[in-house]
Amino acid sequence: MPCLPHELIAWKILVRLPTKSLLQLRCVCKAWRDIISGADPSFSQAHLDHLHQQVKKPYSLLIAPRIKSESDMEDPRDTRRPWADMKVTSPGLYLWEESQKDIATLLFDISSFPAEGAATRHGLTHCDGLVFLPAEDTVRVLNPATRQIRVLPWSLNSVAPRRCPQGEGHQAFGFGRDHRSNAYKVARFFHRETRGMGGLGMEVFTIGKDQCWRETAVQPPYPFVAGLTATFFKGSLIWTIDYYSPMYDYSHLDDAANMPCFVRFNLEDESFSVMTGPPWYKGPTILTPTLPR
Amino acid sequence: MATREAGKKMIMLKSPDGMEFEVEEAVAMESQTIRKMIEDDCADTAILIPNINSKILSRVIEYCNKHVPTTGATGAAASDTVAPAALAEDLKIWDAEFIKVNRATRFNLIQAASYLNIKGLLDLTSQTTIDTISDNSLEEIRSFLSTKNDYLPEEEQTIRRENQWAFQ
Repeated sequence: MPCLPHELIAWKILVRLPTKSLLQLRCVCKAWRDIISGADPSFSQAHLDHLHQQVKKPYSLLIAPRIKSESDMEDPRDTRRPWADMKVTSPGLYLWEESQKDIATLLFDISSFPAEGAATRHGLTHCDGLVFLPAEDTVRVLNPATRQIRVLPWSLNSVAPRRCPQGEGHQAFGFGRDHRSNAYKVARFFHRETRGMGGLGMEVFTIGKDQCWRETAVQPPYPFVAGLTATFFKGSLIWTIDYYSPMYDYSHLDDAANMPCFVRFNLEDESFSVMTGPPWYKGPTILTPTLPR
Repeated sequence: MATREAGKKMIMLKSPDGMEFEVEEAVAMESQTIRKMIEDDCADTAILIPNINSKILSRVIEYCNKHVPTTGATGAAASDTVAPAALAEDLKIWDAEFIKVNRATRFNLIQAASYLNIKGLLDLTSQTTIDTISDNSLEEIRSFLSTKNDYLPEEEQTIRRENQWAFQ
């Protein structure tokens, strides 16, 4: 009976199949289930690499957590608070193709997620096709290809300390991949109850490994802008420093050239480093890091 | 079998069943594994290719001979007369004929292409297996790849339910 070694089937054959087929093929045998379900994270990485090579038609995933409803359309010139007046009609992840300009297919319904009501709205982000949906009290990671959703464990640090003014937010999230271990990590910056030294904290949740959030050995050197989700770039998360926070140390203000603007958090060794602003930068206005993905 | 031409370096490949194949270095270097051996100067005499019998090795060499990029004096002459698109079309037809082999030979070719790291041959041989997997039922896939179903019926049902949408 001719047969192929399991290693070859997995790494040369299965790795080239579309996600939907892989989900069906989990039924073939336990060994296939384990490799497809991510027993070895480098399998999903290899699968992703093959997808990148194969994808010919450019399509985008459109995320629409808020859609303007009829009642808001009364005065279209009113653009004062574009976000605040919007109501959710059918939040979800939509697949949009460039060839079909006006049609988007609903991939994943997220209408059960609380998108409204929270004073701080956290920015969404994505990495390798995984969509990161942070909210004040619940953090979710969604895989639109497998339609799986993971709700991260609750953390005590998601509760706003009493010293933080109501509604301003006390945390900022980030999501990316540790290039050494290939693991996806979620990071939460937060303000503690205490003021002054030690008033800031960072905790990390490694998907597929951690059971609960764990605090980093080193604390963030500056407060970050609450609600502004980090940009993931080259293995690091980059957050914007919040100059208006009472926790900010103003001793740098005289020296605009050396003013710290962003904090880079290396996902591999979980260390912080500080980046100064661009050359034209003159003072504490909020910059956002926008980088190619 | 490649004939010796002036100025072309030849490499001797040996299969474990004792057959020897003399091929042009450029043809042998279609295999990234052999290329590395040559570049690391491990290929002074003959290279023993383990686990690949002479029947399969001769077919692999046949593939590499056909796919080696035609550069140099003879290659330039060839591309002057034949358009690149026609050349690619010709290769496609040749590939389709080449892969008309039984299942055991195809599996052996996949293993050889994987060991010797010949991307084109691996793409060609594994694609036919991918087509079989895409077009057949789970039971047919198991029998094709000689994979045994080690689930209890209720376990298989659970897995199926976890991603019901993928089966629709």
